[in-house]
Amino acid sequence: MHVDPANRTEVVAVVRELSKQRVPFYPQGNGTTTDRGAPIGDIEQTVSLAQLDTVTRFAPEDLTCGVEPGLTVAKLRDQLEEASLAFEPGPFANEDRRTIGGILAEAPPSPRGFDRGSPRSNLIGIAAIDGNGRELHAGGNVVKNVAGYDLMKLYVGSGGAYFVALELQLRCVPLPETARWLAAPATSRADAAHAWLELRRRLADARALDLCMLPGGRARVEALVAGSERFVDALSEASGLEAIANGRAAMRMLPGADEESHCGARGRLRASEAPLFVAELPPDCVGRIHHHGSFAMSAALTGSPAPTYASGVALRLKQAFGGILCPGRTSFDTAT
Amino acid sequence: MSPECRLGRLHGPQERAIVQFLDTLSRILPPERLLRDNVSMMAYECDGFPMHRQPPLAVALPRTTAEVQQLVRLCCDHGVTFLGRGAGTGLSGGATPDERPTLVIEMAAMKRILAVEPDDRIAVVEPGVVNLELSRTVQPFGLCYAPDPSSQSACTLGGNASENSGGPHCFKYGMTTDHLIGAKMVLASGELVELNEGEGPDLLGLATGSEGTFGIFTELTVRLLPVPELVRTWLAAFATMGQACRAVSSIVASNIVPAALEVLDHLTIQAVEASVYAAGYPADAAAVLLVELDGTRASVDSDSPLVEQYIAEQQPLSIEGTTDAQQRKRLWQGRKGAFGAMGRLAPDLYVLDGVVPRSRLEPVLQRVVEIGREYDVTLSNVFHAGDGNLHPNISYDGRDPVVCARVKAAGMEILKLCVDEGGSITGEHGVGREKLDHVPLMFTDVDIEVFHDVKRCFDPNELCNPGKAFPSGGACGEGRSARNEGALGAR
Repeated sequence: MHVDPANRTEVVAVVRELSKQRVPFYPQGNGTTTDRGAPIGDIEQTVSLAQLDTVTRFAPEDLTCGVEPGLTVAKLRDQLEEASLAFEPGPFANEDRRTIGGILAEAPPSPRGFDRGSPRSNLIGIAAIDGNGRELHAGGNVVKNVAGYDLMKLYVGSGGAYFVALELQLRCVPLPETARWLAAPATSRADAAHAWLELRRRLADARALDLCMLPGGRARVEALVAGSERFVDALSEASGLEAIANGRAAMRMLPGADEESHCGARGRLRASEAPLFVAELPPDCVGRIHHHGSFAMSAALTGSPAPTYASGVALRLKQAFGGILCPGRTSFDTAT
Repeated sequence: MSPECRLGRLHGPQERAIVQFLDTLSRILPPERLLRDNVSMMAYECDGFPMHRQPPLAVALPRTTAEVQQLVRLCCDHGVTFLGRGAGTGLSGGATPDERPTLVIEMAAMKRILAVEPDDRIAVVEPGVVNLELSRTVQPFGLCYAPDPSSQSACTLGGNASENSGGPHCFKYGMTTDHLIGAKMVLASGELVELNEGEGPDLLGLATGSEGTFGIFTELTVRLLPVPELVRTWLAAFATMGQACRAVSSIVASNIVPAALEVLDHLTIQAVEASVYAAGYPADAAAVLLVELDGTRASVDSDSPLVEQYIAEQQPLSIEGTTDAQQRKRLWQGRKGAFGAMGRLAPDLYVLDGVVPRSRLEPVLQRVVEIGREYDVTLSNVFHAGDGNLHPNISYDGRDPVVCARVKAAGMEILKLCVDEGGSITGEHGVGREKLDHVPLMFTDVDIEVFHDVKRCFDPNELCNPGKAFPSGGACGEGRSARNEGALGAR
C-alpha cells in the first residue's frame, strides 16, 4: 500500500498510525533508487515524502537553508543559484528527480566526498519522526554546533532505517564564479590509476578528482575545478588536463558514464590500492573511484571483506527508534 | 580525604562492593599506573571548567586496548561509573567525575602514532597523542592534521574525537568529525567495536562528539591534508567592532573561503599585549581581525586582492599582511594565547561557547557587552567570526561565591541570547557538565528522551561518563521552556 501525504502534518499522522499498529514501512522520495538494498515487496507499506517539497527557511547571508525532504536536488540548486549560492555535495545523476531527503539518506558515492562537500558535512540539523511516532530534533540552523547527539550523521547513509525526515537544515556555500571539468585522454587502466595517484598529490585544490573506468578496459582521470576565473585557469594549466565542460553547468554534471549504471558494487578503498583494484575489474565494467576512495562500479565484485561495523549497536538503535522502518533494507537488519 | 574515607557516604553492600572493586583494580594495574592518593588525584577533580569539582574514586593509566577493556569490564561487573580522559583541557566539565564513585581512565599513556601512510594521507594513532604532535610528525611528508583547537599543544586526539573539537581553521576545514575516518571503541560492556566511515550506518559520526558517553576510543584513523603551498595572514585593526564584523560578512559572502576569520575585542587585545603573548596588536583598537588564506599559490594569489579590498572598505586603523612564517606565527601568537593572557585579569576564567547565525554577530555582541555590564562582570570577547562562534570570556575570582553566582547568571543569559537568535549553546566545547541546564533551551523533552535512548544502545547501564551532554530524568533546570513552552525561562 502506498500513501502520499500532502504535507508534514499528514506525514506525522500517517507515521503515528503505522507506529500504533506496528506496521513496517518504507519512507520514499521519488523512488529513484528502489533497486538498492533489499527489494520492496508487493505487500510492503510505503509513505511518500514527494509532496513535502518546499524550502522552509532561507538565510543566504548565513549560508544556510531549511528544506523539506521531498525537494529535488535540481530545484534546490535553482533556488540557491538565484542567491549566488550552491549546495556542495554532488553532482549526482538524475538531480531533477532525486530528492534531498533521498540523497542524504542514501549518501551515494560522490565526487565531493573528500572534503566538506560530502553529504554528511552539509546536514546541520534535522526534524524527524521515528517508528515510535516521536517527533524529534537534532542539530540546529547554524554551521557550527555540538549540542546534543549528532543524529544527522545517523540519518545520512542510513537508507531511512531509523527515522523519517520532516525537515532538513543545510549548509550552503557561495556559488563559484566558474567551474570546469578536466579530463586526461583515455589510457590503459593501470596507467590511468598511476596518473590519478600522481594528480592526487598535485591537485590539492580540485573539487573532485575521479578515476573513471571506461568500456574496453580503458580508463581516464577527470577533475572538477571551481573558483575564480583566474584560479580555474591557473589550476587547469597546472593539471595538464583538457577542458571537457565549462561554466556553472559543470557543477551539475558528471561528464563520464552515468552514475546510475554503477550500482553493481559500491565501497571504499585506500587510494594506494587503486592500481591493484582496477587491474582485477572486468574489462566491460564501468564506474568511478572518487578522490577519497569511495567507488561505484557496474560489475558485482566478489571477495569484498565483510563489514566490521558494530552491528549489535546498529540493531539496538533501530529498535530504539521503533524498529518498523525499512525492514530488510539495510544489511544490519540481518546481522546476528 | 582518602578514597576509603570518601566511601564513608556508602554503606553496607555498596561499600563492600567498592572495596572489592578497588582490590581487584589494584591487581590489574601496577601501583605506578593506579593513582589513589589525594594529591595525585587532585588534578582529576575537574578539567578546564573549574566551576564544578568532584574527586574521583581512583585514576587508572592503561597502556593497551586490552587493559582498557579489563578496566571497563571490571566497572561493568561492579556497577561502577567510569570516564575516559585525555589531557583534561576540555572547557565544559566533560571529564569531571560523577557524584557516584567514578574511575577515571586516563588515556595519556596510550600516545603512540601507530602508522603514517602518506600516499593514502591517513594516520593511525592512539587516543593519547597530542594534537600538535601529529602535525609535527607528518610534516616531513608534506602533510598536516587540520583541526587545531587553541589547546592543540596539550589536548589529545582522543579528547578531540570525544568532543568533536573545532578550532580557528574549521571555517574552511571543518570539525574533527570531518577528519576522522575510523576508530576503535571500548563500549561500556568491555566489547571492542570498530567504527569506520562508509561501513554500515555512520556510527563513527554519531560517536564523534558524544562527549565520552558511549565508550572509550582506543585507536583513531585520521585524514591528513597536504601542507598548503602558500599561506597569507592579515591582521586588521578597527575603531569599532561593527567594522570588523562587516569586513567578515563581506569576505564570507564572496567566493572566498578563508582558512580562518578570527576577531579579538579591545579588552582581549589589552590583556594579550600586556602578557607574554604580546603580538604587536594596536592597543587602541576596538577590534582586530585575523584573516588567513591558504592553498595553492594560484588560489591564494587570486583571492588576496579581494580580501584586502573588503578590509579596506571598512576603513581599518591599520592592516598588515604577510606570508612569512615567523611573522605569521607572531600574528597568531596573540590569538592562540588569548585565553592564557586572561589570567592577567583575574584568577579564574569562564569561557563561553555560543553560536549565532553569522549575520547576527554585530547586534549579539552589543547585547553581550550589555549583559556583562548588567551583571557587573569583566567580559571580553574572542570569536571564530566566520562560523558565528562566540567565546565571551568572563574573568572572575572563584573564591567569592557572590561573584560566582553573577558569572553563572550572566553566562546563562548570554547562551539564552544565542538560542533566541537562532543559534546554539555550544559550537565546539560540548555541553559536558557545564551546560546541562541550557540543553532544554534547544531541545524538547522528547529530544532529550531520544538522546537517552541512543546512549543506552551503547551503554545500557549508563555507567560511561553519566550526567554529561544532556540532563537526566526531570533535572532539566532553569533553562527549560524555550522549545517546550515557546518562551525563554526567567532570568
